[in-house]
Amino acid sequence: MNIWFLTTMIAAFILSAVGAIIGVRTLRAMQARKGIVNHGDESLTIPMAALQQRALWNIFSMFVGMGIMVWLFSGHEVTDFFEDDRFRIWLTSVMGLTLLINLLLMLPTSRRGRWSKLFDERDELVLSRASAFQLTGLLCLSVIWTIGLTEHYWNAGSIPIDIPYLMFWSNFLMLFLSRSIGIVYGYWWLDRYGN
Amino acid sequence: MAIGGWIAMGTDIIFNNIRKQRFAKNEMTQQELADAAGCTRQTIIALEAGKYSPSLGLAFRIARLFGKNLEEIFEYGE
Repeated sequence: MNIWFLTTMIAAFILSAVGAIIGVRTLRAMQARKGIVNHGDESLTIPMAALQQRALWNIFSMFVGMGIMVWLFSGHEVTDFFEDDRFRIWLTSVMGLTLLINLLLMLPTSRRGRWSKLFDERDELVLSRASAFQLTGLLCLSVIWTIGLTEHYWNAGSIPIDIPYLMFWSNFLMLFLSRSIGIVYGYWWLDRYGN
Repeated sequence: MAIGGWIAMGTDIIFNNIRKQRFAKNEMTQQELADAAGCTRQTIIALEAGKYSPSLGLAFRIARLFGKNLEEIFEYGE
């Protein structure tokens, strides 16, 4: 990997951060335009919860991470995962970094310590409903893997040994991505229809 | 919307007058009420806007903060 790759990665993360800020501010402005009833500084418009903001950031960062992985894969065969050490290390590093960012962003899902004031029963409700998205995401991913692998390796009769590792990592990524999507959707539903 | 926020749960409708009570109690802010009730400001805003039905525990805590019975704050309608 050369300096251009590193520069591209850093630039991609900075761009995703700027995109996230713009996205969050746009959503806030859109919310503010919806029927505000002002009483002094207070309004009936529900501001974004800490968990909701972080879930949005997380979706941005995960899409950037996955974009980099797809870019890394271009020009490589699946079997390169074990044959090309540098490719494997870079791919694993990007996957690990993406998951680490997710972990850091989603710390408010813990009710312990300093986050406890940012998190209450409404957030808990959203989190509990987001697990349905995780299940759906994993089911969809397993369908994609099954159809993709059987179609691609039907004639070979077997799949490369690298595939299960990639399936394992993709399950992790889907688990966290679908959770964040579920959280964003959950808040949207609560704000629009109540519980 | 006669009495503050109302929440429709299926065919049930729950009214609340948290906003009115808050202003009656020395213009208490949403943040102050949230801190005292042990929830976030977003939840108080959602309650006042009729977009959230609280747990029994939170409903009792809010009622006690205003020195009222539960049914003086939350009202059940069909």
